[in-house]
Amino acid sequence: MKPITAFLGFVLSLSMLQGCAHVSGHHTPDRNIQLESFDYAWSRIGETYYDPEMNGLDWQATRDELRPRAAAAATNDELAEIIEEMMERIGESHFQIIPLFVYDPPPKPEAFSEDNPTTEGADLPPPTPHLDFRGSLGIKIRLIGKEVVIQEIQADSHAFEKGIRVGWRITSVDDIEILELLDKLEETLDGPRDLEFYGSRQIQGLLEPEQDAPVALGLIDHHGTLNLISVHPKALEGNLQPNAMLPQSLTRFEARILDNTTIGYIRFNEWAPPIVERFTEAIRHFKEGGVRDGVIVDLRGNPGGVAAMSMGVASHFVEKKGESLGLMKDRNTTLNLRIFPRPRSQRWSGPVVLLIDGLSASTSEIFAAGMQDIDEATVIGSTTAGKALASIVEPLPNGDRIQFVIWNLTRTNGQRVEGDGVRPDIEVRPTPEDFLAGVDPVLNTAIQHLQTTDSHATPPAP
Amino acid sequence: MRPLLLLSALSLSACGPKTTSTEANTEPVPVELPQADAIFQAHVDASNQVGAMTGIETMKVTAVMRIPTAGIEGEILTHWAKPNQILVEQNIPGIGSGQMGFDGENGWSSDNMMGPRLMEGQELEEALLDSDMMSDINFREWYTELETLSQTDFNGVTAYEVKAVARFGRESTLYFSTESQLQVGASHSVESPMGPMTMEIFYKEFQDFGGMVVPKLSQVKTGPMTMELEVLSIETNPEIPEGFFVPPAEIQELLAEQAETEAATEENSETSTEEP
Repeated sequence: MKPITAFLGFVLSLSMLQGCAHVSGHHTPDRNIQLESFDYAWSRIGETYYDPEMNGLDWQATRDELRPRAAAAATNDELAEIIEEMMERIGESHFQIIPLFVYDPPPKPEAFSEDNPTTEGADLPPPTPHLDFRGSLGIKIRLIGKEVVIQEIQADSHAFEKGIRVGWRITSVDDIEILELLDKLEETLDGPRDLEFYGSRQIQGLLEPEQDAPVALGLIDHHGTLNLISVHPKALEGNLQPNAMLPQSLTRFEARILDNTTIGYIRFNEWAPPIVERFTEAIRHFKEGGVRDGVIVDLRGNPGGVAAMSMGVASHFVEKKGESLGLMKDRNTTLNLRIFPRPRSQRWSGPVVLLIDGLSASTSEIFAAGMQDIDEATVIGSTTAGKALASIVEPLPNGDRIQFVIWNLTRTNGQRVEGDGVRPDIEVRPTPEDFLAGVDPVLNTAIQHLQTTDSHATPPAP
Repeated sequence: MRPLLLLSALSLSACGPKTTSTEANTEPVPVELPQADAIFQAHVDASNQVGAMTGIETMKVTAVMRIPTAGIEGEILTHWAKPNQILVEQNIPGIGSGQMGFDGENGWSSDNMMGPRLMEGQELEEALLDSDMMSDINFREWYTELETLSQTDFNGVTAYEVKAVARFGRESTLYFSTESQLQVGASHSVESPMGPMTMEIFYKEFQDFGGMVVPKLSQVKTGPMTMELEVLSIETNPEIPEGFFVPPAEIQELLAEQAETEAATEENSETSTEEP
């Protein structure tokens, strides 16, 4: 019995991947299957959503209203819209339909390499698997208000070669006017935080094309001049992560000692299973490399992943037994995101700073909230997305997959992160001018905090 | 062989002294019920555990775990050595891998999500029970209280419902088929790393593995999730290398740190009692 019990530690808390991957559907003409799929979605959510009152929604009436439309749906796309409308009425994150074509044909998992776990910054070279073609212009953006500012640009990208630089603003991507897109999006969203979250993801998605063809960017440069520049994508880099239920993804992990400091810096793009082991390696690397002032974990832009991993990562930083990052509740059971401190050789006992922003979501929020609550980290940046619930993904009869919420997630004091987000201990918001000047005020504040804080007076044992 | 739910799908021979249940029967007509001890013993007999386990020193069980609704599938490999050493290795593509073990003294677990940890409290007690391949045969040592509750319909099978309280306090409800006498299910709360979880277990597709009658398929329902465990093979007396059950270095480090802490606590306690 025991192995199964232990295994449930994995399973119950897995899934919860970033609930916002935006993809479109495809045709499947069998209407009976569409109706069956609608019924499956309605029943499963009705049976398993953590709140039996369905967040105040009349679930039966919702079915009665939408089912005739589902019966008339001719394609998976049409049905997906109806099911998503049904799920949106619950008013929470982590509900979505993921089209079959995202999984089929599945990418080849053999490209994943355990031997090459990091992509940059650390001492291991990156593998570059391909998912058919999943490209990138090498540009990472940040949405400030409705200005799309380039936050990072890869030095080996065609965009950099063409002279595009950090701090420039993007006004269009091919024939899409960014401001128009954001205005339309704003009409459907609840406020500026949602616009930052969904707008950033949508625009970032435009900069990661699925075709190996040039993309025309409208850009305002340092001098305020509008440029139209055609940029070729290159294949996205990272370790191919075969997810059990969600589409395979490219996991990127970076660990390095910041220049001219004794501060370790870690960032990664999603909470996928290999990340915990990479943390263990990074902590060892930092200790051997003379890191003394502290460790920064940069969760900005990190949309989340497998919830259980928050415990495994936290266990590198927590010495006291019995601490918890929060609670995970379904209709009958409350599970504790308990931290089991690692052995001394794997643990960092000095100061820790977490960087967050409006794109930090889900598991990133659980981790930040929990570490903040147990006083194991100082949180710097801006309030997170407020999208922190635990979900699972199951196939629908029509082949698409449905991600739906089962568990409510709260801090140990019962307060929800969903909706509210995590507020930083020290609030720092970068401006477009910061990017133009090549300055990262959030990171700089973290460095300054660690270099001046008293808590590193006793350096951790190597 | 608790760990993989194999041998715990016991059976009971129809005989044995019969008593009425101490609780109200759900059947409209009162049925004279056998005593729980006899039900359990009949299960041990029907599954032929005593005969099959004679001469067995080690065992290797290969199984596959599935969560059908999510399309998840992975391997579970269990090695056991008499009396109570066990190592379970799990590998679920897309989720992760992990090990858990009991070396006769310490229970531990290490996986790529939660990291390495030592088991304590009820979880450790459960590990002890899980590590005892003879726990069904020795059920009288493991359970301090057995009581027949009713004859009921359990998942379509007419079964005796038996309350079983383990010596470490865990209360379970066990179900034994009135026809085959084999255990067809159980329900109890187990201590997971994330806290107590209630589980319902259904044993199905009984087959002969090396002389033992064992459920090839076990379904475990916890909350909204249902998983299946299918036994692929049971190898008896495989050669297991020396040191196989020794915990990995990171676990040994945790054990050493625990010993340090206990020693320091003891020292502090002695110091404080010496104070006037």
